[in-house]
Amino acid sequence: MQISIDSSVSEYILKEEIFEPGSVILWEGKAGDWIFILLEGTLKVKKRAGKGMITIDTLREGAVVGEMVMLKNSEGLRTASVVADGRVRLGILDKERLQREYELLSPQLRSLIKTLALRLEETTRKASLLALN
Amino acid sequence: MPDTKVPPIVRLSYSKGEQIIKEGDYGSSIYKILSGRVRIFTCFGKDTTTLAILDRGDIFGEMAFFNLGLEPRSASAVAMEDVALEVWHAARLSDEYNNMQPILRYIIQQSLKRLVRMNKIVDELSSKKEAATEIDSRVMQRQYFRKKWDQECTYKPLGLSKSFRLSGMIRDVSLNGVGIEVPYENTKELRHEPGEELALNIQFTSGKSISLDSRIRSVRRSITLGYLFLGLEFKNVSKDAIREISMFMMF
Repeated sequence: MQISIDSSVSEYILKEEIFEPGSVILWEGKAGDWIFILLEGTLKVKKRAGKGMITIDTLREGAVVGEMVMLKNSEGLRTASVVADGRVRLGILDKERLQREYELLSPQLRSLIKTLALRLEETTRKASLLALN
Repeated sequence: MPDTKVPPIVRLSYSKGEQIIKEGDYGSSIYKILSGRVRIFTCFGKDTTTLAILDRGDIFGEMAFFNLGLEPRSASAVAMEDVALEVWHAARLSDEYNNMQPILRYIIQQSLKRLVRMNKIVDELSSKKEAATEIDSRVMQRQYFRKKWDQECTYKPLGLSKSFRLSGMIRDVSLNGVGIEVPYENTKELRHEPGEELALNIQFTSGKSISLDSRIRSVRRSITLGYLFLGLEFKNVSKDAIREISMFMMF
């Protein structure tokens, strides 16, 4: 399936990459700050739980991945793992440009967005704990 | 031109035990804690679940902002000790939000969608869900999201074209319906039984009026002597009317 991405988004895509089924695109707990948009295929979001990993979300075309680090303005540790569920095509976004524009926002709006990101992180953690039990 | 980077800030104090936000109410203010601790919790029937304990520097009330104030507060907030808060007015911040780079807004909306999905999963997985199935979900929704509102109204059976009108008093409102008090003597004219459909008319002091089709869902004796309390559910309500009601409920 192809999706049409608005030009306001697509102009930020630096390059595209293809990942084979099962590729791990982000590792939970590892450093990293790139942000990408899913152009084709499906991704599974997984969290460590107990001794294994559980899938907590499925992302489809148009989803943005890896944005939490920028929104939280944090150290840059990934909060979940993301795995290709089949062959996927990703658009790598211009992180520097996004970061510059993000920092132009007022401190208040940024702290609101950060709160949203923290809440998402917390809720995701809670969901993975509940799913385990 | 006002500087959009500096929205007006109001400071408020709350004493220990005072409620700052009530779940189900409408409002779009955002709070930042200057001192003291605040407990965020949700109620479900008699059960209370603490979602978070927030401290100096933390922000709350942001969900209603991202929902553009169209959804009721998803949790309550209470002062655990004497608390000083900074209140940010949502209007200027939402101007900034609406005017920021579309890609940033796109990214934030994606996060918001995921948060809504995750919240749903948490809800489904926690025991709350089991209790919920026992209660008529629409009645439950109205118990949760209603706001007090004292407003005169008139009504008549739906579809009746005669200039027949009974009057009542709206006591609370939600996006699903209203609760109205009507004098017993109105039952001489109309049975007032669950399932009956009513055309409701609300005349605002501004001169504006709205008409809403509704169905009686519950009838009970009102706490006001000589009155009945009707729970009405809206039926085929126009987008305009919903907008009117949600605007009212935001303030």
